[in-house]
Amino acid sequence: MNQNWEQLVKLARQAPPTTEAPVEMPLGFAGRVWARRKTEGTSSAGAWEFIALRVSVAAVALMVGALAFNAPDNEDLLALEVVMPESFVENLVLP
Amino acid sequence: MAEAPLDIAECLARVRRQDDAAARELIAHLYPQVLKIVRSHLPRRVAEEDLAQEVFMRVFAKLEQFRGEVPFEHWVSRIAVNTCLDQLRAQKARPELRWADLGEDEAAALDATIAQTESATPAEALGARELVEKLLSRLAPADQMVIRLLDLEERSVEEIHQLTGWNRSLIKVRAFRARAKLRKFLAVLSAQERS
Repeated sequence: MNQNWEQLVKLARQAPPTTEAPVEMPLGFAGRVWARRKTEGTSSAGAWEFIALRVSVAAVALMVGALAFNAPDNEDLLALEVVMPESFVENLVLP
Repeated sequence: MAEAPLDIAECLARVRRQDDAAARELIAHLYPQVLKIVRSHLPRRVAEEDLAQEVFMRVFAKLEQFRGEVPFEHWVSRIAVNTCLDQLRAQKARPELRWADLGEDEAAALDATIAQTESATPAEALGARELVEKLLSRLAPADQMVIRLLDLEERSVEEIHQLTGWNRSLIKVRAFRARAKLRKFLAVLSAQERS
């Protein structure tokens, strides 16, 4: 019973190759792909990643700025630790 | 006269400059390779042209990430395999397969399998292929992929690693577990046939 899967695969390999459509590119395929790329290219995942990175850098800068301006206490630092790595908070120089 | 092979590096540089002709040349060059992968892993109900188009869209979207550390064709193959995998994930699993649902050729293939027949009749062989497809469709997408590559396309673990990015141990473990499930499905079908 254990070898049944292997046996089934062995039988399946004996099946004649199916008549497949030739691997020929459909007429106009390349043009369609490239046209779609040009229209969708600007909203690609890469662009969104770039925007997300900019937004997160700005958010951290704002948070650090706000902390420096408001003379943070331990509670503020604790809150910051939730979103930032511990090492970052430890190295922060308090005013 | 034989056509000159495509200079990939030069073609990619032109594509990055939004050269229409270079993009078309690149697509034409890669099309047979992409279509072969798409056909091997084509999820049900998805047109091969649509899936091939999706692969090329991803290739162009990620083109800036290609660093030339591996041959471009390998990089494209990996994108094609992962696109197929995502399509498989988007599909719902088939309901449980019962012996009563098998076609005549599939039931004959199951008999031949149980009897450990060495050579199958053409009908049994075709039935076996259909039965394999039905059984595979009950597996998780990644399991389907690994069994197709290892058992049906007879690729090596190293090739699969190159193609999918999965580590070698993961491939072996995944294949081991997937085969165990397939054996279990077959055992259930055989038991139903006997009862």
